[in-house]
Amino acid sequence: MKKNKGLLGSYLLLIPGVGFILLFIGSSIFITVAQSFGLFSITGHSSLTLENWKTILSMQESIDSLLFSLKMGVLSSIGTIVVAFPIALYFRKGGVGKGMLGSIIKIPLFIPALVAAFLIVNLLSFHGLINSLLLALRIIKEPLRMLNDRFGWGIVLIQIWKNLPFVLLIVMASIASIRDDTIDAAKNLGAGYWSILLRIYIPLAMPGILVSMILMFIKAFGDFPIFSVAGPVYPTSLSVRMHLMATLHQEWDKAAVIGVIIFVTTFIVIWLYSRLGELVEGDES
Amino acid sequence: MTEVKQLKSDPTPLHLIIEKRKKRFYILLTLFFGLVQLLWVGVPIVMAVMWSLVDPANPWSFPDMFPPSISPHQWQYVFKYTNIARALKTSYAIAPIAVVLSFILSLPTAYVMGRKNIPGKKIFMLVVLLPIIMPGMVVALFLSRVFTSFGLSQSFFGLVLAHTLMGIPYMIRVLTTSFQAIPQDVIDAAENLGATTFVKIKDIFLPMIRPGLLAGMIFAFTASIEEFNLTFIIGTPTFETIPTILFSFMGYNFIRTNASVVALIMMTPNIIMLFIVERFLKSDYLAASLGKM
Amino acid sequence: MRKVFTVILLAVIALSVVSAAGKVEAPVPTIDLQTSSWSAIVEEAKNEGELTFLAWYFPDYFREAAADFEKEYGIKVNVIIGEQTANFNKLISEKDRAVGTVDVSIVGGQWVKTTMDLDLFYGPIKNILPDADKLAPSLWEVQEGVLVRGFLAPFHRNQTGILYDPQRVTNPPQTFKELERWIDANPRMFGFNDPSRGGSGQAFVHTVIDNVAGGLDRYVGDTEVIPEKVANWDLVWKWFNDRKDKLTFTVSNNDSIIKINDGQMSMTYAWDDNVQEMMNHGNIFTRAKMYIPEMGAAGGGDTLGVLKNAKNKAAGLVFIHHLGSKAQQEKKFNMVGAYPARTDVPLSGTLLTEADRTNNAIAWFPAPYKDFMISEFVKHVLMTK
Repeated sequence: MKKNKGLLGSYLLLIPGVGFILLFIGSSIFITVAQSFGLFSITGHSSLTLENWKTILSMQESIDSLLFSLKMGVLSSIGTIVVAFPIALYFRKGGVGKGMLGSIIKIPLFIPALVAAFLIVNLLSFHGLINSLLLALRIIKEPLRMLNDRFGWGIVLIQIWKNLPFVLLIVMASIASIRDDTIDAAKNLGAGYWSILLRIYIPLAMPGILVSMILMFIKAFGDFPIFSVAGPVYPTSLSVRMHLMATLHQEWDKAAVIGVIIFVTTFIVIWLYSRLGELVEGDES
Repeated sequence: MTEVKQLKSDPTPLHLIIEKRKKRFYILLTLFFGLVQLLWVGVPIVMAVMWSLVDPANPWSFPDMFPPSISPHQWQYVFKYTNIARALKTSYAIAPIAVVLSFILSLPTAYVMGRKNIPGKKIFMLVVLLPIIMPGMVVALFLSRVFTSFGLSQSFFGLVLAHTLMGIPYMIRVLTTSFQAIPQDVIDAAENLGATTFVKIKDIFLPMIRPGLLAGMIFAFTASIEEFNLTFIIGTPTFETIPTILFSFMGYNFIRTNASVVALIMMTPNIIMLFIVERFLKSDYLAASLGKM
Repeated sequence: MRKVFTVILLAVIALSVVSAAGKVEAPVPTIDLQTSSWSAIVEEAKNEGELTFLAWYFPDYFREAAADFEKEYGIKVNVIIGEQTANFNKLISEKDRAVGTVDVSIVGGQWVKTTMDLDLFYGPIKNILPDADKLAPSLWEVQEGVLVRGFLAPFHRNQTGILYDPQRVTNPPQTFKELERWIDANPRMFGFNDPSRGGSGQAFVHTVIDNVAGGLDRYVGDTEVIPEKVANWDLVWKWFNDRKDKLTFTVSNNDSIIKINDGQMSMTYAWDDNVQEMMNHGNIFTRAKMYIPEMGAAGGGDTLGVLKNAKNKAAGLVFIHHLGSKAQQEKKFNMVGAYPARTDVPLSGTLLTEADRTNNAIAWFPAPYKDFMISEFVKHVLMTK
């Protein structure tokens, strides 16, 4: 009896957050899925069919886009956390000058993705500062062509630049909850830096690391603006392909298929990340 | 007695030397780090400033390292032919309200997710992320219809709701992590001492989720300021926000000079606010980071 | 407990879906625009008193045009300069509403086909507007290879051509063979954008098909892709693949121009109005030149349409007429350099000469072929290593 009442209470508390989201987004999901099967068509001609799925899954372009976006998502999420974690540890101590430093680091957070993309592209362009400097220092004879590289390193760089403060804030909040006495106790027991890092900091900060990696993956996987400016000519990111499918080829239903692929893939990867996180966290009581 | 007496000419003890070296190392590290940061963040921004000052009569082209001449033309153009002042007011009016609303709506959910074990929790965690998983333009297309049918189009409140929707996923996820991190023994101790729910919220939960709350608020704020797709569809023509003007120079019709101006206009209040907020919350941060309660 | 909760959840989603998917009928205007006299329409427009106009470029010109319009007719114009994709997303999302928020919109590029297929516009309007015959006649019928049947009023004409840096290109190529030789002699210095992301790249691929696959005449009039006619397009893809390491691919119309300014390329295909706008804002050096080579370059233009669910259709029509007037077309040309759609405006100082336009400009082949060209290019040129 009491357990049920507690459960009901919990569910009720979920309404403002989860309920609010479902009310508005529920339709987007439902209609996108329906459209991928041919119903609710925007052109007015609806009919239940598997054709859209068959076509998209058989197109090499879709597979290439999916792999490319996955690559961007995973590399960006790992890249940002790898750069952010040491910085977060560094900031843990507080101290002189770190306030100002902290503020400067946070600036990219307030710069929209599209603007961030064009700022970095500016820097790396044939006529940008980096090339000008390298030329002036006579390190290279003619400017490097660094933009729109096929692998996507430009995108990863921009993602890290823009999102470093984002991940940093989350991880710092997570690390803040680790008690000093835990660290001191470990030191007293003779644990070295690496040991403390791997056995204490990372597992205890895991919730924060996990959340930031998941959010980072979502951003990078579903990215549209950064790809449009700095991405390779081929393959295109999944969101861009979805957009082109709808607006250039007017295949709205096939675009819906890509939409479903986007969120299904995201869910799968999030689940994978969570499992990985649980493994690392280990038995923590 | 005599063993502890130290002669003046004795060399400095080893541990003091190590301490000094460590300190010097940290100072150098901080300086180096600061320089890297300044360049990493500063250089792209400085380039944007230069682009915003390009004189149309003397375009900045290869191989000039700096614009050949500068002029306020681009800035004048943006202020004369766009409604940037009105857009600024609208954006900064919506954002704070959206942040507060995000917080209020997220708090109960984050509490349940962070501290209770209910069936279906994993699914709810995923549902919470939906607004940001779906590609922005698709969401905007359908969401605008939902908003319209609820009568929320072309209304300030509608825009606030839309922005809140985009900020909630971040707020919930970050607050959940914060709630998770509260040690159970603190709550148990409080309960043993007879604390009511109200006291628990006021004196335990709220203070302990502060770092996460700060992060969540910043994310919700930026999500609101940057929100473009849905805002454009349900807000125009009655309302104009900064992203609308930014994208008119940045999307398909990419004009670097004007885009630089709008981007700088957009960044400046945010950065100023950032410094102010950091000042205010520095003391709280220190307390939290030292693990004290 | 769980069942009840699940039911509530589903109900919430259902409510959401129903509200998102609903369809409503468009309103009927108070006078029949198709049969009324022009003065009656102007009267009606003044009664409506205002209109909302959507575009994605020329904020300076449009705000001035709106001010002139208000002075002349007393009708207020709400000018919204948005972003191309966002604009059409908005129009599409509003298409099932009884009354939309936009009355008149610029239409151009790939969106011509999208919006015509989705039947977003009120029309035909060619028969309603006075002086309609003075606006580029071909553009009334076909835009970007799409049959527009008098629904969209020509606003300006634009033309692709070769943009180059005279400091680096001393003998600009005219024939296709000359271009081939130039590309061989100057690797990576010629580029164009991926056709799926901009019209200038499309125009270049279109020209290559013209020169390599045996001319464009045989496609005229087709309403869908005839497989036999595109059977030899593998020669076209081979042409590109053979030169892949000597060509630069860019990601948009503007990106091509930016790469010229940056010095990364010396020659590209570009839209003349794009280049003019970039020059006006100091985004490309003033010494840049454009021409239409003998091998041909396609052109087109942007048009204006009245939305089917517009609240102020009469005011919209009068505004379109205003933008198409001789005075406004001249003003637009002087202010932003956009080539008038009106055929009776005397001009000087354009990037492309009249002679070039008359002799070397070519028409697009039908839209189905354009669509096919784009996906085939991606498949056979971009996807292959």
